[in-house]
Amino acid sequence: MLELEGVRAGYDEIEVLHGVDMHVDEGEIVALIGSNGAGKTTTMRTICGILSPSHGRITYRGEEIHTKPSHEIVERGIVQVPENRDLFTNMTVMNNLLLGAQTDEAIANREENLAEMLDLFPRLEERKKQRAGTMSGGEQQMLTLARALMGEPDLLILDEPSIGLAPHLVQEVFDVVEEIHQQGVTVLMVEQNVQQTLQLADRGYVMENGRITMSASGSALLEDDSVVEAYLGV
Amino acid sequence: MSTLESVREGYRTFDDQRYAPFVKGVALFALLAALPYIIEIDVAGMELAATLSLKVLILTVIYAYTAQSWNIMSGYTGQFSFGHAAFFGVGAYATQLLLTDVGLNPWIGMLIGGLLAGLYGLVIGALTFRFNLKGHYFALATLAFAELLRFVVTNMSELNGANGYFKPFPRDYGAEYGLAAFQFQTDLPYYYIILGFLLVVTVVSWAIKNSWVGLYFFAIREDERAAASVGVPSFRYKLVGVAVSAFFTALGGAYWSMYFNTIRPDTVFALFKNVEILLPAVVGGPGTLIGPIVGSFIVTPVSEVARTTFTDINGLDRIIYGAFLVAIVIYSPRGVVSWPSRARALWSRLKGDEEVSE
Repeated sequence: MLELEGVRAGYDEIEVLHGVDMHVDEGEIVALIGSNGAGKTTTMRTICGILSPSHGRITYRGEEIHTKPSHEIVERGIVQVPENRDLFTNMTVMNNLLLGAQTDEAIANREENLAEMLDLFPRLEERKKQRAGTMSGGEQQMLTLARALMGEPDLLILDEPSIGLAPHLVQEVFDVVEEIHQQGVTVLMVEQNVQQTLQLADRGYVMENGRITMSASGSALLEDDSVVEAYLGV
Repeated sequence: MSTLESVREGYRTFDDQRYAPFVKGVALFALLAALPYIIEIDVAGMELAATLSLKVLILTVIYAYTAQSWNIMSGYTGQFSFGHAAFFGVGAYATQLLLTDVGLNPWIGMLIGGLLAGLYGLVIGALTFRFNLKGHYFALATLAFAELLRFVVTNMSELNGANGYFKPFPRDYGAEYGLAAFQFQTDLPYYYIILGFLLVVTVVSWAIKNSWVGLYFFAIREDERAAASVGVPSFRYKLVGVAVSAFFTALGGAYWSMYFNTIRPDTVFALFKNVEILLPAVVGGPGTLIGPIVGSFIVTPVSEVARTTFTDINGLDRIIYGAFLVAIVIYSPRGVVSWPSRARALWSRLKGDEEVSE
């Protein structure tokens, strides 16, 4: 479904990704793990068209997307939930949700999707007229997820969805991700909670210094000594 | 499905609420329409018109109109333009040039001027947005484009250089004084025409604010990168903002050229014209519908009356503009229209209420 081949990218003069190869198949949950500064977020941004690669190519359903601007990538069904949440904090919860619908199809189904989101996240229903910036971190994260789903993604890209959340909220986020996946959405996620992520994921990639160093099924990575040592703190 | 029904219900109440400002708007414009008569009311032997003349009212509504036009781009999408004099001047010059040299009716010339200004706006937008100019850099770039036109026009003999144009008489283009000729022998009809302009641009602004375009505009203003990451084509919508804004600003310039007898590069393209266009919106409340109108009624009469009263102090009006600009930016960046809600919040805090709105 999504394929990265020899992708090099970075910020201005500084190259962060030194040739990344990875792929995501339809219906999978794929995890990308690695220490801080390994290039995980840069990978996400490059896929979404916020950064453009200097070398290599990114294809989605056989079509090159790395030359396209981000709104055209969204139109193809790739929706990202960025690490810093990127909510419109001075706008209402409702308007934030409405802004999630950008493709023609998503706009056509906006009312139904909105109702579904308010069912899935009852807290948002209570707060729909409130400004997004006045909500708690957990609620904001739920809003970010709900806004992404308003876009009817085929591939949902999550960058550290549980960052900065209390433990019980972390579990809630993982539950929501699982539910989204069961509805047929392919998920690519970057996470710090390596244990929970690898339990949920079909496959995982380990990234170090801008390169993929390991690739295996989620459960295999969980049992790998070097992964355990490096990321599970045993 | 009950939630779906509640959403639909929400949409309906949203629609109802949309029409509440309509009542306020009708009241406001009725008041504005009555103003020329109100200033002539004799209060204790003094007419308000002695200081606040119809001329000042016309000027006030002109700047309310241009500020409302500026607001569509800079207030809604957050791309702060310091160069709207460019569009104003293009409108004025296109109208006068077509009128003098071709004999084209000013109502048609005005629309052509609007389209030309919109085109110039698209060129400025395409160049600046493509290279992602933001904030001060963007404001300075727009100023440069405005100054560029001033220099070019001043040095073009084809456009009469620094002398500009002198508005022809109606009979010169085969018309009589009246609406069709866009020329009148008294000021009152001019007042109602610019009020009509203001009404049109206010209705257009209201329609934009309540549409999807408006939602995208505000998302871009709020956080452009976030808007791009949810998939708002921000480049395209910023261009829409600048083009619409430029078009309406140019009509203001065209009106100016018909109301005053002459236009010159250093009046319609003046450096200070940029400030006069944006200040009412900034003072009143950028991004709001009523802000530019309220702002103009605060800023313009004060500076005009001061300028005509203290004639020996050169440039007093500009000092007053400067003082307004500094004070509002420091003490109330959301403008005068945010004061009622701030006062309510303060009041409820003083009363010790738990409930604080906003």
